[in-house]
Amino acid sequence: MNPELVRDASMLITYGLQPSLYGKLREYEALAARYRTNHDFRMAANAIADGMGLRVAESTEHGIILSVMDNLSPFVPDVTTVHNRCTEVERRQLIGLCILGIAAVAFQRPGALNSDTACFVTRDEVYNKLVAMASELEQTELDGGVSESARLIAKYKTLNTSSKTHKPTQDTLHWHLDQAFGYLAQQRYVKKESEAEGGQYGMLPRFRIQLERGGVSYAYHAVQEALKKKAHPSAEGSAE
Amino acid sequence: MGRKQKEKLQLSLYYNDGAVSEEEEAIISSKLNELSLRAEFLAIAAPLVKIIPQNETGFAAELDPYALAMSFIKHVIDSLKLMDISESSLTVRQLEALVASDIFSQYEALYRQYPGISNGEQPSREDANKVASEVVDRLLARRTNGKFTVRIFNSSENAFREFEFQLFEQYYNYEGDLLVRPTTECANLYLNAMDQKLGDKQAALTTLIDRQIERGDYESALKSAYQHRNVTLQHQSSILSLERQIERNSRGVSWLNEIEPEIDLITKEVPEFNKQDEKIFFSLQANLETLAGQKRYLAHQVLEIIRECTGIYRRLAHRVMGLPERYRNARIQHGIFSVVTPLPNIETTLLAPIMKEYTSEMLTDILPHIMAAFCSVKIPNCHDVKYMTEKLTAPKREVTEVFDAAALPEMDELIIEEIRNISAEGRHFAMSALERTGGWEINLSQVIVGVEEDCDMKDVSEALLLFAVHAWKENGYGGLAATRTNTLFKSRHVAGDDFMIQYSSASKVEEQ
Repeated sequence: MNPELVRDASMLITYGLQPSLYGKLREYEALAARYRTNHDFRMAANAIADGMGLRVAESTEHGIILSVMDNLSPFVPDVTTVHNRCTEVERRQLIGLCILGIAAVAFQRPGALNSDTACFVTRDEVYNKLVAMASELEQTELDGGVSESARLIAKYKTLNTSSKTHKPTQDTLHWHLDQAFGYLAQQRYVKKESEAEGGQYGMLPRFRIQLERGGVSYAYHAVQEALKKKAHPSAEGSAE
Repeated sequence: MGRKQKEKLQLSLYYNDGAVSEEEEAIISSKLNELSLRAEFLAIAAPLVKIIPQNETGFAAELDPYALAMSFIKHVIDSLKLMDISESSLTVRQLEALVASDIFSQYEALYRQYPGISNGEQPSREDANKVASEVVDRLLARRTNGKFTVRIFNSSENAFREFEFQLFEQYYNYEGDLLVRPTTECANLYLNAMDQKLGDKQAALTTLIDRQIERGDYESALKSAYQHRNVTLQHQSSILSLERQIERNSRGVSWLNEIEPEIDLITKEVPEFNKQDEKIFFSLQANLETLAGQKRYLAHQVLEIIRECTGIYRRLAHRVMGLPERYRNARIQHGIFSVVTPLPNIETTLLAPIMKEYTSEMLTDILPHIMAAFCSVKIPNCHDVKYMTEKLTAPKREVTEVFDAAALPEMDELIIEEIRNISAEGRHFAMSALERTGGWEINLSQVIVGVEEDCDMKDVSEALLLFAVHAWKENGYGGLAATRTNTLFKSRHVAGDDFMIQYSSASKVEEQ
């Protein structure tokens, strides 16, 4: 294979790893155009991405959108990228639930992931959804007692605010949701439209495309796999 | 007695034999269904007449909702890029400003003609802005994701049913601007949808214009030309919608019965209309010099409209050429192999099981998968000892610019003064942005661009730039280290030298 072509294809992946360059560099746009029109170049870029545990989820005139397709990839994001104070296990888990909650509420309309029509969500809507689900579970008799997620949400659902700044304190679900929204906004996944109901956010195309082109299916299989292991722990042990 | 029974009774009385055949019954059903469809068309206009909030008083209560609504749609339709119904250039904010301007014009006319409405008090721009925001909110139906629902009585079934429709859609472009575009229902409403086939209507109109021009009746030709443009736009909208249907593999589409005949028709019609428009255009252009006065003025207007239509058909002809191949590819991908499977619902298949079933260990295990699926890729640091050593021991780079304002001694005081001038909120947001870098080395331009996407406050961008410049000049500033790069950057609010910055939250900038 032509080394020049491989170098250019790697360059495209390098640019794709930096969301802030999307639509900002002419050279990047030229490589993205080449990806769309040149079969060999596309194959080379896909192979490079694949080798790094990535996938080109979408290519447009402004650049490409990459998503992680293997949790052994060096590019897997972790919760500390959302907020560097989230080192405690509980906080990390809560941030994960918040991100999942945001996507669940934002894309709850059937077909929302397949359409480019804007979806909006407020912080309070996500809060209410998570709290409602948790309190429903608290009232239900579960085999192993109250679920961990319900316990976490019950613990953090308090509405404490700082007396100085009037902003949610760090021991609240609101604070964790703000951090999750802040992170998604920084990644150009969501955009704050107004301050209504704790902040109204619109879902940007990058987020929808990543979820539509594999993100949701990948998470779904991971969740199903974990549930299977829980149901048949012996099968896992014997396999090992 | 239901409508169907009434019609049957009327028909049986007409034939005076009391019997209605199956064929006649089918005709009645089809007539009643058509009635229902017409009722739907009327219902689509319903939200437009209710755009003024009922609790308004003064001038706002007297606004003409009909003219306002049509102007609203016109703004949205005019914004379509190359008249493509799926791509608009109008942001929600711009739309609010345009509607406010329309409202203010009506206010001024009301004040001029009926000053008694507000006891002689002059209308204000602020009032118009407030009402405009409510009007936009209503027509975009933000609370219901753009959807309107009305109850329609279906005469053939003799029952009510819910009819759901949408007039406008909001969508984000890749730059993150929230834009508004019309739906096909809205475009049809505005362009006076006709029940005749578009191709037939267009063929009749081009022949008509040709004859009217031949007769020298330019006034009628201009009217027909306007209609011709409307049909051209509808024609384009229907072709683009077919293209999307093919690519999205819409459910319920019959490839052989619906798509194929449609493609056959379009591939014949579009080049034909393009040819006809070009013929009218060139003959009109050749005769323009021979005309004088009013006729010449009217002919010129007709020429401009035909020029616009020719342009649209030329672009469409180009797109249509590739349509059969796109259809073949789509048919193989979606129709034969049917690779499109419905996506799992995030709430029911992901959130609910995790909430219900997961233990703490399972939550910890699933976290990397959730992050991988829902978050952006993270660039790992490459720990190259040689590079780090070279970087740490390298002498401070000499600035080679002929004039470097930032390096002048008096700039120090100016920078500190400027930092003091930044609002507390701006400083606070800038700090949060620095904290979010998580201690990694990152380009200042990346942080600023990210922040501008997030909150779009000029103060924040300025604060970040000033912090970086100050940190660079002072070899560090409250935990912030900055190294000047050779590149320049420009963001929405600021421009200047780019810096590699690294922030350690142990000692905060704002405490300095």
